[in-house]
This record gives sequence, structure tokens and C-alpha cells, in this order.
Amino acid sequence: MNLMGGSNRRVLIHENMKPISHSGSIDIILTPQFYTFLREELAIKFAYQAKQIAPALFDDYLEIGKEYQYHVFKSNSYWYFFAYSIDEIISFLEEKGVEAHQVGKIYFAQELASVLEAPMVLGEEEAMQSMGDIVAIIPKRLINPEDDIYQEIDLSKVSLHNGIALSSSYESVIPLKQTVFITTLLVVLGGVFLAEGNRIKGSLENIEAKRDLILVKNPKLASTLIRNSELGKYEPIDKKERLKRDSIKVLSKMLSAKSVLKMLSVDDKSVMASIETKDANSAKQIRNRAKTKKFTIKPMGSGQIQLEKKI
Amino acid sequence: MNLMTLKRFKNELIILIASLFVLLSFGYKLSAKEHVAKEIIEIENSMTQIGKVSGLKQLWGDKGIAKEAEKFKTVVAKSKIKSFEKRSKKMVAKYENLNVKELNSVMNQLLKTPFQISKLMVTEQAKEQYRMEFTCKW
Repeated sequence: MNLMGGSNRRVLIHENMKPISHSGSIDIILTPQFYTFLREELAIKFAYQAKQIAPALFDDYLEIGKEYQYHVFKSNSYWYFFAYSIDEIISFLEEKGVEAHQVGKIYFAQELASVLEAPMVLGEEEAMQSMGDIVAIIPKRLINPEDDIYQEIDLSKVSLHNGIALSSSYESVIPLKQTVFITTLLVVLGGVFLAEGNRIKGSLENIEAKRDLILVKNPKLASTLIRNSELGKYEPIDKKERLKRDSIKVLSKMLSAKSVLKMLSVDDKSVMASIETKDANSAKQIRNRAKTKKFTIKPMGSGQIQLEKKI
Repeated sequence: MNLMTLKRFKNELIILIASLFVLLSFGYKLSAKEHVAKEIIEIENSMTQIGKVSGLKQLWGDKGIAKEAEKFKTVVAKSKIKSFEKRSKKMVAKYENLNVKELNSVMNQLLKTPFQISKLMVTEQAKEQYRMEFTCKW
């Protein structure tokens, strides 16, 4: 796909032209038969401003109800305005055997003004010539046939600067200026997202370094299987032994001057203690404390309380 | 879609491609974020697990812990030790006539030593006199 255009074969497009049998891309040069031209000396700085006023300039010169496209460029102090119907041109080209996709650039014969001082033949009845620096179609009958003044022009050697791509002849929904602006914004945004993504990925390095440092000290624990196996071995021991010790500490805190430990028994299934109290008040205190610490309470009579906790 | 249509909608096509680029890069950022969050949780979990395992192993699987058993011979007067037996990874100790202070000393020593208490029995022999016996392993 050649979106930028290139050095294609150049073909002059006029109504009396012969069909073209060229399968590759071509650049076309429109004769005045296919465009309306105006030259104005205006105090306008930019082409887009000139293009904006173009439809108003052509108001009285164009057919009503027909859709036109406009092209402008500046040469010396003059603005050159062109109005053309791309649909009409495409349909004409198709009649002459050229498909729209074959068209690379479109030039206007006005650019040939400098080389058309002598007329150039366009079929049986018409010729094209520069008159007062404006390229126009003139009937051949106005030229004396005895004057051999017609010239052949090698279009490939003529310097043309103001071509337009066929696609830009159509009104695009989004103008080029906005396209550039939006695309720049989107690319910058995309770049920011990419950079952010890379930065986020890079943030893993710190924590990975920490883990690696720990693993250097405990290389065997790099495997999850080994870690789970070790946890399965030591976690139940830790849980049971802490429970036994905590229960013994709780029982020892329940004892006071008014209570005496009679018996304490600890094994892998339970922690059990018998406490003798000297009055009802201290017995109540022990029972309350034991309840909050989830001991089972069994009154034994004669001031004794038995406390038990399952492990 | 022929070449002409592509040319005609060139601007829109460029914006579409740029939009796709933004979407893809946003997707990349999201997936990087998700991947990193997952990895961090996984690494933190494994670090916590390694710390826990090495801590537990050091506490309950310390090979030098057997030496601690000797302390139970000196924590009270020898006359109060009825029997003391230590073999392989197990110890059995019996004390008699312990007063409350001595009982507390032996008990504190037992609680702070990372032995697995298989059996512990404390009974009152006489007023403020206790008999204590326990079996531990490591």
C-alpha cells in the first residue's frame, strides 16, 4: 500500500483522451475541463484559511447541486484556488479503464503554465495553452493551421509540486490537523501506560531480592513441599505445648492466699487442677476466672473445685 | 475493504490504530499490575512461611536442646530429687517435699524449656509440701 505516493507514470486527463491500459499506479494531471480555477491576491497566511473561504469564492461559478472539492496553494503573492468534482473525475477515469485505487496523486494543469507558452494538442478540436499565466482550453480552429506551433510535452520531466492524494479529495470525517493532535495524544498516553507497566513489573525486584536473601539462609525451605511438611510436623506441637503452658500459667494466677493447689495434671489430652478454697468468695472468683478462660468446672465438695481444659 | 477505502479513511485508520495501541498498552499495564500483585502476595506468603518454619524448627527441633535437661538437676537441692532419668530424646524427673517456692522454680524451668510435656503430675503431699513428676521429650 503506497499511502505516501511515489514517482508514478503521469497521465494528462482530458475529455478526448484514449483509454488507458496501465495496470500500475498513475499520477493524473487534470486539464481545465475538470476543474474551475481562480487566482486571487489575498492577505491570508495559511492554506487551511484559504481552503475555508474557497467555497464562498466559487459561489457564482459552480453548478448548484453538485458536490465539489477544493484545493489551494500559494505561488508568489497569489493564492490559487481549484474546485473539482472527484466523483465526476473518478467516473471519467473508470470509463477510460483506470480504477480509483490506481490513482496516486492528482495535479492540476495550471502547474504546467510555464511550459505551455505554445499550445498542446488535446484531441481533434481542442488545445491547451497558457494565456496570461493561466492555463486554458482553446479551440484549435482559433489557431492558424498553417502555423506549426503545437508542442509535445514530456510530462515525466515537468516539475510538479502541488499534487494531492485522491483520498484527501474526499471529505474525511476527521481533518488532518485533528488527526495529528489526537494521534499524538494517544501515542503519548500509550507510551505512559507502557512505561508504567514496565515500572510496575520492575517493582518486583526489591521483594524478590528480600526473598532470595532469606532463602540463602534457609536453602532447603525454597521448596513449598518441604515447607508444608515441616509446618505439618512442628505446628501441632507448637499449638499443643503453648496451650499446656498457657493453661498452667492461668491456673497459677488463680491461686491466692485464700486458695491452695491440691493437684495438677497435664498430658497430651487435658490440663486438670484441683484447688481448695477457704471461703465462698474466693471460690466464686476462681469459678468466674475459669469460665472466662474456658475451663470446665466441677465442684468437688468441702471447698474444692476441679478445673479441666481439653487440649 | 479495498485500497481506495483505506486511503479515504486514512485519518480514521490512523486514529483507530493509535487507539488500539493505547488499549493494548493499558491492557499491558493492568496485566502487569495484576501479575505483580499476585507475585507479591505469593512471595510475602512464602517469606512468612519460611520465617514461621525456621522459627518453629529452631524452637522445637533444636539439636542442642538436650543440654537444657541438665538444669533440672540443679534447679532445687539434690535431696529433693527422687529420680532423674534422661535417655535418647526423653527425660523423666521426680521431685518430693517441694515447698511452694521450689515448686515454682521447677515449674518455671519446665515452662520456659522448649520440651514437649508428655505428662506432668503435681500433688500435695502435706501442707505446703508437693510431689512433682514429669515426662518430657524433644
